[in-house]
Amino acid sequence: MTVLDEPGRPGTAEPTPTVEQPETHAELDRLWADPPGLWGRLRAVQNDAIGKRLLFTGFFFLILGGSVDSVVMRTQLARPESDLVSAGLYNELFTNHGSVTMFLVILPIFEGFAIMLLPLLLGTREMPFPRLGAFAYYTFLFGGLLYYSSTLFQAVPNAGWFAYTPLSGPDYSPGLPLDFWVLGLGVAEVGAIAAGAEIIIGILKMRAPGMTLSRMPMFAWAMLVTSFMIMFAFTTLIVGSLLLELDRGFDMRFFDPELGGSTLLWQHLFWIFGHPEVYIQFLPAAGIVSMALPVLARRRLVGYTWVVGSLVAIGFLSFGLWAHHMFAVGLPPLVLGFFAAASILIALPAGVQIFAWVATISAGRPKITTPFLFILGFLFIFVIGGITGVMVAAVPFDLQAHDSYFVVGHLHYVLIGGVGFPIFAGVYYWFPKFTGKMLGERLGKLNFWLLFIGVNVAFFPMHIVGLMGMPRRIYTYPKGQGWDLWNMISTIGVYIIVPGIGVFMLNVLHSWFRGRPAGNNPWGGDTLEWAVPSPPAEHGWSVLPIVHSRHPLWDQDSLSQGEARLEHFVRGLAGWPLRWRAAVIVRTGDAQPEEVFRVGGPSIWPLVTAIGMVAIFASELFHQRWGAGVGALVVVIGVIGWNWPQDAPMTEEEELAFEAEHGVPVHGGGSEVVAQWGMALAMLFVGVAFSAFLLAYFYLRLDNDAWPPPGIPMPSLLVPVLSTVLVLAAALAMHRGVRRIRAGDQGGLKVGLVTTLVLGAAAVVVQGRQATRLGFSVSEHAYGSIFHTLGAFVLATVVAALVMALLALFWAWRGYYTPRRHVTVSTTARFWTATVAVWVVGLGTLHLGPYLT
Amino acid sequence: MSGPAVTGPGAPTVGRTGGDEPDASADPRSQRRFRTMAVLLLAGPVIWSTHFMVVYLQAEAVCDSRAADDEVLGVAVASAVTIVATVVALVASLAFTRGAWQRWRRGGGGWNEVPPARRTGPAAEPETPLALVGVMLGVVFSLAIAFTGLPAVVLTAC
Repeated sequence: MTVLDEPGRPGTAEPTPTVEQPETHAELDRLWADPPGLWGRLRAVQNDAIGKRLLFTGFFFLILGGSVDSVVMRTQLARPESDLVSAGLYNELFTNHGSVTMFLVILPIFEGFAIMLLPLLLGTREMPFPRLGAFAYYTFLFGGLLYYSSTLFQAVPNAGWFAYTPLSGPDYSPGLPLDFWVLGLGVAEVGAIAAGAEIIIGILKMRAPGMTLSRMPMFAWAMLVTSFMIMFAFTTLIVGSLLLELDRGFDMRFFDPELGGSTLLWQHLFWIFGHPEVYIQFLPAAGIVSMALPVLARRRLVGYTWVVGSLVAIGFLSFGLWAHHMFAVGLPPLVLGFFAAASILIALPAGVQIFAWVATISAGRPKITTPFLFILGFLFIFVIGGITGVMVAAVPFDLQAHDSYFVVGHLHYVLIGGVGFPIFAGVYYWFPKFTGKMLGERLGKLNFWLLFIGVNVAFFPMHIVGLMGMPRRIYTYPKGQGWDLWNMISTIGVYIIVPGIGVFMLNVLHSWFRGRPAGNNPWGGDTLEWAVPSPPAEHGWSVLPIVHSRHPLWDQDSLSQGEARLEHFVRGLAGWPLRWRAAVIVRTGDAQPEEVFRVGGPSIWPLVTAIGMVAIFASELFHQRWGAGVGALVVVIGVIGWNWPQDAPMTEEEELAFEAEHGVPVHGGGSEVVAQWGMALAMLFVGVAFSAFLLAYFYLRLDNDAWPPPGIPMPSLLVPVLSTVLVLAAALAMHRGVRRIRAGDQGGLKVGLVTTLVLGAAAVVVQGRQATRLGFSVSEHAYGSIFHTLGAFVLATVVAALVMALLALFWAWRGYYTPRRHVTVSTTARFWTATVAVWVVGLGTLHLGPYLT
Repeated sequence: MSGPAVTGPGAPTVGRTGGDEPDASADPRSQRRFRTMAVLLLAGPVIWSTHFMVVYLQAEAVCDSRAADDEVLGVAVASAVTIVATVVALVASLAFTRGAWQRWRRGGGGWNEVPPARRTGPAAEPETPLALVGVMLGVVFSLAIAFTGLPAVVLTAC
């Protein structure tokens, strides 16, 4: 009898390690649950809830923007010279279709998968920042709704999903439509970055004892690489979008070639995000395939290390491909060569993954179930999409195929085959875990075949019609080009896809209520999530598992046995503490417990902060700029409320007693380790944004013969030197304050903080005053635009550091800090170090750049 | 690929362990070893990224400047800088790859994690598989550096 004939069959290891007293399990479940009722749901932070919300909202946008738009567009294109929709509406449709699927569908779905799955997969109780997860969801939802509200104002964006300047600039796209695109999606991008930071720390620091990096499930590896890519790519896009909005709403000149700007700067900034974005979407899909395929083929993944290497390699290489979208703009031949080389090279790690999966299938004993079919469909379609990708990586071919339907066919093969099919495989594979019900196999197979046939019928002809010369983004075409038949076939394909999605929705609804019970481990899976009940308890794990293998459920007799001290630790943590949400941090390399800390509980503040965030963007949209101030105030209040220190749930003596018995420090008042990592990622975000501004500065410099332009004086050096000395002194005072509190000197800390505030504020005043007296505005030339914008970014970084120091002073005054509990002070000091670097490099660039270049 | 035969959930398993293995990872030096490992793991990709940005930005800068048509030893400036940067990056990347190789060999040189049931003797350094990933990435990104620099030998610079 095969495993799959036995739904409900447990894995070979014993099911969830249990505590001796069932009431302890119930108590933990209650402790980790979100509160009931509408008010409770608004405050929900639990990873299951947030993950499911992201998934459902992503699917909702998929139906709205992915399906409805495409049906209308394909119906319009089914016949030549059709007048079903006008050219203007068609522009809106393809803009909306691309923007929604690229920004509002795939990423939230994968981040939802990650937030929902990772704590179970990794053997931990929660994600590190549940409130950040809730904030990420709300910003994504509000961003999506803000974007979609353009339809209510009949101001739908219409410049394509990459919104090239000058088409998207103030001259050619005046009015609201493009503002909705920039600002609505901007809010959603903030959410993507927030969730990315949460996922990185969750994977690196919150794993079961013994789960070393090389024992991590492949989905965790994929999400780790993906989340770092999100930090780099989305931050660059946010900077690009900011510059575009500054051109549109503040009369700046970044993309105005007549006044020193460059239209190509937008393309660079957009594609530094845009191409990695494709791999940001593909890597989680590869992670899902690498998880489900070995279980369904009943064979360990062939080449685990090779696939890990491929994920990392793709993560890096994907950032060296952006200009292959710009082969037709007139780049120097050498530059074309660099980008073509990198674009072709990425086929190497992608190919390694394909061979690993094919080898796993051929060495295994697969049974053809629905998720397995979706994986086969993925392999077939994605390989075709990958090969056409290598074709367009070659410059001469690209110049022929550029902006033709060949590219449309290619990208749909990659995104539907490489991303859509694995999403379906993942839903069929993990649905039983989160609902306790199996998805129906008969409907599942119908679902697969409709999608598989539909996708190939719809998109394969696009390659042919593209090579025959049909350009993309045309709302109709004349008869007699030889394109008619291929377009009709494509339209028929989409009509097959739509019922395929309908069957999927029917299957989900039917199975949710009337599906077969799944049991803990219906597929005979090897990873930890299959050890817990389906659906899992709110806290996931009563006793944390101890891991010795990459395949704990296949290789271990027990998940609760291991080194004596680890056994003692996980048992100890199972029954204690039962009045606060304790989670474990492990060392990154060897996964040994490093700290026990309190995870944030339900809170309304993430929602408040998200509302403030969306208010900032919406105020710009409706040109009510006072609203930005109100929004910023709401954000500040929200963040303060969110991080308002709670009374430590236990005394320092109790914490020390647990540490003495188990050898692992307890920080009920706030984790040192998580705070350090959180601050490190915040600094990474600032660093990437800063680099994007610098890139813009030097790109504009290269584009202008005179810098500054005639009529604008060379920048002065005296004031920046003075303000730099002040900032440096402020940072030193901050670090001195940290040293004083470590020595138990609360007064010394206060002196340090006050000194920091005075000197830092003085630096801002001195530098800000100079900025108002420069004698050139943001509007006369791109030089003025970048000078003032980069200068404002530097000042804003210091202002943020000052706000942090002010809050620390408030808490110092209330006597909150002790030599053991002063995590916010030490993280603030680290941020001041980064601030000094931004200040020195930023002002150095602005004031020395014209002299040195 | 060498390595132990693998088992699925339905296959018989031999003497699976419950975790009484000696725990090499409890070694207090493991944090330091991990940091070295992380450097060896990411050195190749980081060197390639730096090399890529250097050669790209200098090509844009040189081709946009008055030096676009200048030559050094008969080679266009942008191409010459690319060739030098490529050689330097290649040497650095190969050196780190060698380091990862030595690390992997010291850790036992296995291709796969040995399942607990098949482990004999003390457990290997748990991060040895990462050293292998470091070797693979080192090789791929050394190739990537060479491949990225290649256009400087065959194409007109600007």
